Amino acid sequence: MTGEVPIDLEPPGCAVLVIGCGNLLRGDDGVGPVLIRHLWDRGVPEGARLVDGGTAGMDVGFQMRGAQRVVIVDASSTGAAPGTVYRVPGEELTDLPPLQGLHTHSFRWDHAIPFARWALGEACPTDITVFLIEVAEMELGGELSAPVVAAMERVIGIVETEFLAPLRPAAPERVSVEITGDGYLRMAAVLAAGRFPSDALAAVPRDGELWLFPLRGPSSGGLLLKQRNTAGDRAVLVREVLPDGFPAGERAASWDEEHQVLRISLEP
Amino acid sequence: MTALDLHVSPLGRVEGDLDVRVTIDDGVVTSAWTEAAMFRGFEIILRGKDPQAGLIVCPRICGICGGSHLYKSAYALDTAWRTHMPANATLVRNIAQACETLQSIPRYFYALFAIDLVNKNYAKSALYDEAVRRFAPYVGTSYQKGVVLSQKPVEVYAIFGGQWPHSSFMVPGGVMGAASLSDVTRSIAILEHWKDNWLESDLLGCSIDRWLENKTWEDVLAWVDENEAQRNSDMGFFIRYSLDVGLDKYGQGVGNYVSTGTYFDPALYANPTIDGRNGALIGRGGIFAGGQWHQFDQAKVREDVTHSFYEGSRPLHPFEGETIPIDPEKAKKQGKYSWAKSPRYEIEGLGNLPLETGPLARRMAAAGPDAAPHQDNDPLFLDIYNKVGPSVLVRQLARLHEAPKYFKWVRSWLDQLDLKESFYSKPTEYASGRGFGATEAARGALADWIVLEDNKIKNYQVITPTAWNIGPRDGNEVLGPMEKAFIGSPIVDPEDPVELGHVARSFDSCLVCTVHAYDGKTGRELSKFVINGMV
Repeated sequence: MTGEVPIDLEPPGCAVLVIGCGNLLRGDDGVGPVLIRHLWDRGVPEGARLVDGGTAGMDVGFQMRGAQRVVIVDASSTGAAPGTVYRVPGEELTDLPPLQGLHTHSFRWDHAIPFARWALGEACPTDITVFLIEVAEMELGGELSAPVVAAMERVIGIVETEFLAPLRPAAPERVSVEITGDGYLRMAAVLAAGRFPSDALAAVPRDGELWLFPLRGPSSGGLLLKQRNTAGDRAVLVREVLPDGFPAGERAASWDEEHQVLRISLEP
Repeated sequence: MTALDLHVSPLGRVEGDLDVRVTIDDGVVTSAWTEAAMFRGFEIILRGKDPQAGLIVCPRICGICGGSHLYKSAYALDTAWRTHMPANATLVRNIAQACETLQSIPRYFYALFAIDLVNKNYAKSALYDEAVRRFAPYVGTSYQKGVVLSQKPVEVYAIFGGQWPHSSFMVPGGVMGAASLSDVTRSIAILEHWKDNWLESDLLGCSIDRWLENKTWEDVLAWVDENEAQRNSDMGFFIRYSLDVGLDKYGQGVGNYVSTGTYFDPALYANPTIDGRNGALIGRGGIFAGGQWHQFDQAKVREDVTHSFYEGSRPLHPFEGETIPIDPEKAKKQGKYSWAKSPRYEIEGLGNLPLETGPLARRMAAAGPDAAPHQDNDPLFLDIYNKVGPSVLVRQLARLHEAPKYFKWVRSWLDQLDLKESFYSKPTEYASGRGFGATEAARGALADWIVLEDNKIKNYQVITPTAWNIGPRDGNEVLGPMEKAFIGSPIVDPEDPVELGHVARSFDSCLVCTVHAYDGKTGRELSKFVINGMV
């Protein structure tokens, strides 16, 4: 059944692996998995892999196989002010105590790393960064508390800047897009991946231009970019914000760094 | 006469913690109390939520059985909404659930159970050096390979479910995502690799078919001595060592068993209903109590809270189930001692019985009468039950026996997938109704009862295998299965009561415990060790 083609039994590696650990059912303890969901909505660049580690224990260790850089986000309860973010220094990670027993039901980041070193051997990544977010509330079924949400946003910002952004294609500042006769706006794959990684945007006519605002994800509405070919080029229906009788054709566009928006000239 | 209290106290983070108090007289355990020290509250979280909330919340109940929780939560909604289940969806659910169990078998055996076999109390055994060589944590030759390769079956789960654990890919009416040919070929390659490099090469020392020819205890003993490969396999060695150190002699328990059964014949469960469930099962469910088999009937399940930290005056069926916590300090004055409820099963003439669940319970159900052609029909463990009796050894043997059996089933289900056909039928989301979904997690019967009203969850009750096994005494002061299993255990060395570890671990509870041994008279701590925890 497997034919002539050999099948690689190991899962594919990745350039950056982000793992969020914690229990979604216990309020702030779920910040790791919630952060993963936010990163997912924002768009995952090629070469990155996100893992909702949940309370999975040793599987977090197995997931690290073949990753070049690993980021682990977990909750902490040290007594510090809620929302405090710790970035565990690299030397602390090399000095973690060796494992003396294994448990499938109580496994934390500081167990997962030495476990991965044991189980994966030379395939265990060496570039590992751990972020810990101090919890406020651990109520069963509770939502994330305000200070933990703020801390999560900080960590998302760091992960995006230091780990994910280098994987995103650099979109040119000046580009052109195509508007079709039936009201679709088409953009090249590199522009979509570089500026609109979540594939969700808002389109607003302003000062004779069409402004496209990237959204963090589709959960609050907005327009969806759809992939239109195997090259990854995208299209989005913007007919509703164009004047009637709008002429089809290429339009110049530029990225406005100040407003974080793609400005499209409506002049042909 | 010396009386000792052995005390097991909490540690850990996730599913909950267990305190076990054990009384020892003259080196034998005479009574036990299992005290679940952590309030769960999933039922309260789910009340008033969207009907499908259980598909998200339940897989988070456990970091090791997430797939089992998803499986039964999905079927609870399937029965409530009267969905249609395409054959592919039934097969994918079967494959995923069984792969989770195939992961658990070696991971549990090497990482949680076999490490106690190197306890210094066994140093006088002639086989001790070999046990250390194989099973010592991290460095044992079998330990390392078994634990690392235990990841392989759940890689197959992740191919179908996106991730493992905590996936929510089973939805009412089927599964999310259609499998591709490369998904199937990759799954087969991974499983064959696991079989060739652990299951046959290390665990059995023979083909899976040769092992599955064993029908009696004598067959098993003859299999051990049939050749060097089998004799020196981990299974062969484990049997010889267990008989040498007496693991066949204690840990009996209540001797009555419940299995809800799991895995469905696709043609027979295309329209899941509560009543049609038993007949569609491949892994049979059933009750074995008082030496008799009974069909499993969810209507006969009760939960007793006499000794649990909840309000309630009589055993309730889960559809009517209540979860009203009360302050443990006040509750203790009423003789209550656990956050776990006591699941019981009503049998005419016998009353509400505590039942053990787990692999041995499944094996007893599989030996029952009237198996249909599509159903597991396996007499081996009835024979072992009759000749050896339930014990720590037999519970482990039942667990290991399922690895070759489930492997064959999964391979057959993978071959039955028809990739041109559907994996999902959109259901009608009825505003009200009742559903029951169940499965067999690696560690036993796991079931949900859901009541829907006005498009919301009106009541939700989960009974886990751990609850069946570690539930406290009931209103008739009858001990729970694990409490009962401790009784009669010989404690050779109260400073290092490894026997209690074997019994507790043989139930593979989803709990973390630290054992403290105290001298009952002086209060002096005699020993301390951890069951299921980081030492």
